[in-house]
Amino acid sequence: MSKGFDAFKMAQGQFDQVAETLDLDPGSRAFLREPMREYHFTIPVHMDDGSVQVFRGFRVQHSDVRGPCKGGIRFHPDETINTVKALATWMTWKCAVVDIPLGGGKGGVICDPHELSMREQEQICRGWVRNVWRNIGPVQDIPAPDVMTTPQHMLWMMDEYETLMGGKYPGVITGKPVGSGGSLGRTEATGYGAIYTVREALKRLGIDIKGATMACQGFGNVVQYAAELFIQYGGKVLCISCWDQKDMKAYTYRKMDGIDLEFIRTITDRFGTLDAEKAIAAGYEQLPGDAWIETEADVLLPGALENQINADTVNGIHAKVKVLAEGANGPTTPEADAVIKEKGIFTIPDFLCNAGGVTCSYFEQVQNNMNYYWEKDEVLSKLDTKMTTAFHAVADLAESQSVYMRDAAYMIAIDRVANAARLRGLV
Amino acid sequence: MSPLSHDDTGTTGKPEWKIILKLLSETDSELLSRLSRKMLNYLFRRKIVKISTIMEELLPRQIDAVETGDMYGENQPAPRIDYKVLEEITTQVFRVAEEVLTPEEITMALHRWLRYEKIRFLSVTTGRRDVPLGKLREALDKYEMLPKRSKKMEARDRENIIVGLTRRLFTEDLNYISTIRKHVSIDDFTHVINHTIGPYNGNGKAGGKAAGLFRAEMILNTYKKSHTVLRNLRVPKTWFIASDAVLEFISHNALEEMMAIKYAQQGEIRQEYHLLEQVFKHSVMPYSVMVGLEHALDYFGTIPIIVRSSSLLEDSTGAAFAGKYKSLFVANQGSRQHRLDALVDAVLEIYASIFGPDPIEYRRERGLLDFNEEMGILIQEVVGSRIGKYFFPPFAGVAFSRNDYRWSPRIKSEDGIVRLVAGLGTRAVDRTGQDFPVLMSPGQPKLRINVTTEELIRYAQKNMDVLNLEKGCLETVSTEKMIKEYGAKIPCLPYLVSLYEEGDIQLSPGSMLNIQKKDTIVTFHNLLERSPVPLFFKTVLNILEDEIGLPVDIEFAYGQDIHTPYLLQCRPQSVGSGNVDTTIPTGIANDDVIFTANKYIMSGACHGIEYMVYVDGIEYDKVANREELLEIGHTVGKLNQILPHKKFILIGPGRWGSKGDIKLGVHVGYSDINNTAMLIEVAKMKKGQVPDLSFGTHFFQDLVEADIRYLPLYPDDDGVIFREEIFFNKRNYLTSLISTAKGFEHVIKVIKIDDLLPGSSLSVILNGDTDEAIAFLAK
Repeated sequence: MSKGFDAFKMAQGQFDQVAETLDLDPGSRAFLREPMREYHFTIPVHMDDGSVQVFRGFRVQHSDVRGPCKGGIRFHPDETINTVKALATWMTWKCAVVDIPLGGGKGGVICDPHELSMREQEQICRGWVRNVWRNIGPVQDIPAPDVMTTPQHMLWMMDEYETLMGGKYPGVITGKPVGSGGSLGRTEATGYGAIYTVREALKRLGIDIKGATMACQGFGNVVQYAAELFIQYGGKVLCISCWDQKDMKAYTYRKMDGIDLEFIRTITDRFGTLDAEKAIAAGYEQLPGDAWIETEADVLLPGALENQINADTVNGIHAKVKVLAEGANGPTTPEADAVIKEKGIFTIPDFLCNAGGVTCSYFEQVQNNMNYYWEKDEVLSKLDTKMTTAFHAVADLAESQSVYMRDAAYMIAIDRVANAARLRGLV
Repeated sequence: MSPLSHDDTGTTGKPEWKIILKLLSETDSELLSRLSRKMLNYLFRRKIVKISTIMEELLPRQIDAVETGDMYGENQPAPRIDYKVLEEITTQVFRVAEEVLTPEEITMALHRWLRYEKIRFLSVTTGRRDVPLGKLREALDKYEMLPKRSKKMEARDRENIIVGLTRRLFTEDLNYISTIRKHVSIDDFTHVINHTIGPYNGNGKAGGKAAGLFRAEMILNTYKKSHTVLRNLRVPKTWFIASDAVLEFISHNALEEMMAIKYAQQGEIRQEYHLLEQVFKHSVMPYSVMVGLEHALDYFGTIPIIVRSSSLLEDSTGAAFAGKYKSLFVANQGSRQHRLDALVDAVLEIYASIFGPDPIEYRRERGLLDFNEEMGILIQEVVGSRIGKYFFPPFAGVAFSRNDYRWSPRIKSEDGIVRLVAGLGTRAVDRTGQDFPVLMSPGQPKLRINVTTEELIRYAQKNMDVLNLEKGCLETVSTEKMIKEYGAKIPCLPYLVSLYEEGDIQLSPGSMLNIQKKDTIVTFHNLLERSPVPLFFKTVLNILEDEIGLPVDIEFAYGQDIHTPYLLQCRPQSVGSGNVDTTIPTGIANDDVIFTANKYIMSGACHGIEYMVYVDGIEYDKVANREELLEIGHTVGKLNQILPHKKFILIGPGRWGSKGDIKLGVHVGYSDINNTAMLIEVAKMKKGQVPDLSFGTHFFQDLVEADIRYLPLYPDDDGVIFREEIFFNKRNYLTSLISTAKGFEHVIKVIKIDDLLPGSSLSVILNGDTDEAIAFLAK
């Protein structure tokens, strides 16, 4: 019997730990450590060659006590129900920590889109909806794109749902393209959301964001927009890092008096590679890929990859660093996390820091439901309010209970969900 | 009745055929003899028994002679018969004809044969092996001038002429001749010879590339009626320079000593080559060639042209010479003199490339050095149109009838593969390693390698090759910039690009409205989903492979729209990046075999492997800690940096590079494996189930461009050998290479091949045709 890594066990272990800290009652613990509902079903598809192949689909609704479930649909050949259950659980906590009225869900189909034609993929999408359409919808459970699913898949699903329902329900799914029910501001949401929390963190630490410095890992959507807003607030971004396709390795590009974001954007292709020659000519230092970690800055913002701050790199963090803003998912390994705790670096944990994305999905759904669409400024200003409030709630708890920010975030999230369940009389 | 009377009833006088015969017997006995042989055959074909009896009487068979005691058998010359017997045969043949045929029939037959006599010169000329180019041209011109009625001839005569022309102008290869003769007419050769440049008395051929293209064009032409998708298929306007023109050039400039350069040391050749190229460029083109080039230039006008090598060795089976000789673009702009100079320069540069170090080395390796290499040349119009200062086709590429890179088990080798690029096809022919063509399997066009937004962006074509007509050179420009600048002026654009908006890809762009203001990405989505192009390739590749009897590869470009494909080249398909022998060796001792495989094999070979890196599936599965799983991926990445480039192979469980549940495959990125020669995924049965493999999809295009071979291995299948014990019995070099990898020795094994058999290395041969692969120790 394999004793390998099991994501759901990990999620449950994490929950048990926080439940212990919160001293949750046994009923709440039993209720929240398992998903409320799991749907398992088969999707028969007539393949292009005339054969029939049957795919396995899932939808897990971990908790809807705070509102309709929210979470992506993954197409993956290695999909397992336990992975989906773990991800649904994390979605519950993520929505709760930013205090949006949504629960947690996740779904998937065991399939590899690389081995399927577009028509076959469309059949899977429509088949998925035909199985669960009674159990999803704007007031029950709202899926979104995830691993190997695209806005195109979402539109097929929405279309099937609307056909079955006999009406227009764009709010059944989020992540739609602008013009087909998508929300403005989605591109900026995660990066801006991260900086709203950074701005508040600096305030609490008594550091003026004007003149504050930040070192970033990556130069994708998250970092580009985080840097944009940070610079707008008067801060300086000292470095970014990116993958170099030609040299097959990552580089950090650094300018200690602050990067010129517009210039960097003009020399970066959309494939994320920066023109090294032009950067060097403009006075940027080209350093090894993980040099961003060692940069003397007030804020560190890992914005692209998992496990960047690990046992090997954590000790390189400069003594001046005050805030770690986890823009990417899981950038810090548990060993490194312990070191960061010791160093007393103020951490904005990933599921709070990068919750701008899910918050914007929530806004998309709100706009869909009322069939009235906001301008980008309105979306971003509402996002600011949500993120700021959420941040302070976590930070207040961390301060009052003298706990680490990551623990405080989990505590507040789980407490909110447990409370909602209690108030409904479920537990 | 007058002898010229057409009354053949015999009632009013002598039948016409008799008058003709009488006249001939008095004036042209040779012709009479030919006609009687034709009549003899005619009667044989009509199965007239009497004629056989008479022939046996007049010409008894040898066996009868032996039986009667005349001592000559099959090993002795037959005796000469009396001439009178031959005359008698003529008489008897027409006597029998008179008995069994109507007078009209005999007269008509004689008319037919006499008409053929008028074009007999053609069969005489084409029957001569080394007929000078000038004479051949004159004969074909004369034939061309004849009225249509006079061109009628019997099928076998026509075939004979066609075979003669094929042999003289293209190749003596019997397979080639037998394939082409069904598909070609004499007029097709007239077209070729009218566009051929060469010395009047020369006996050169058009060369391999020209032969390949001509054959493919002729075959496909005959299918145009039955296959609508082929109707608009074209071949660019082409001129040929005969292969012996280069010899004329060498002798004209007294450069004969160059012919011996191939026997010099490699270093010497390399050193001399650049000088030689310049010597060639400063030499004088012989008058006969020069005049031809001027004609060609006037014919093309100011359309850009490409000058391509077409050597006699090139493109024959077993020696693809892919990319060994040059192909040069000539922008063909400016004054006539300037254009002529540029054309002559390009031709001379290609001539010089015969003496280049790489082709000579290639020939040396294949035992072709002693062949007296001649170089034909193709001058072709470049397919495309002028957009601003640039000239390029909307898209082009290469297609192979066998797919050696299958990204899904649903794709079979015979489904073929096409490498599509926007702009000139040079980027599809060569592998840049950093830019990517779109790959499509014509048999399974709907199965894509890249499906997620990230993949579509990562593997999109970033740059395109175009001709800059102002600068007169080939240029690589950013695809994005071209589209921003010229937008919908670029033909077929809606078929080539998808839109990139707000972080998402809209695969099928509805209209090109304001396309210049939008972000586009080359995906060829609409071309693959909503155009006849995939069907076109499937049809072309199937027909060519069936007719030629070998897997083929073609180069193509499209003109103004998706309905005007141009065929640029066709040759037998070579494997992998060069001409790799993938014959599975026999007679290898059992002890020397490390593993074998028998399904989903893609052709290729790796030799000289010094190390095997093995990730043990069972141990990997037991790792419970995510950190450790990631560390295993990192360690593989470190080995990738330390071990010698392309001298090691990676073997591991499940799906390399899996981004999902990392337990199911080693977590690596492409940069962690980019130095390996081969990536092997092992699908070992677990709890009664064989796991699915990734087929390298996580970095498939990287593997293709870097020529890293991929193999799925199913050790539990019947007939498969997998000597896993080697990985446990032999010394593991992991910690001596990476001291910090202690604790992972039970999962990662680094085995030195030399430890298995001193002085040996590992060879892996993959044969997609037979679906077999073998890895063995070789000294």
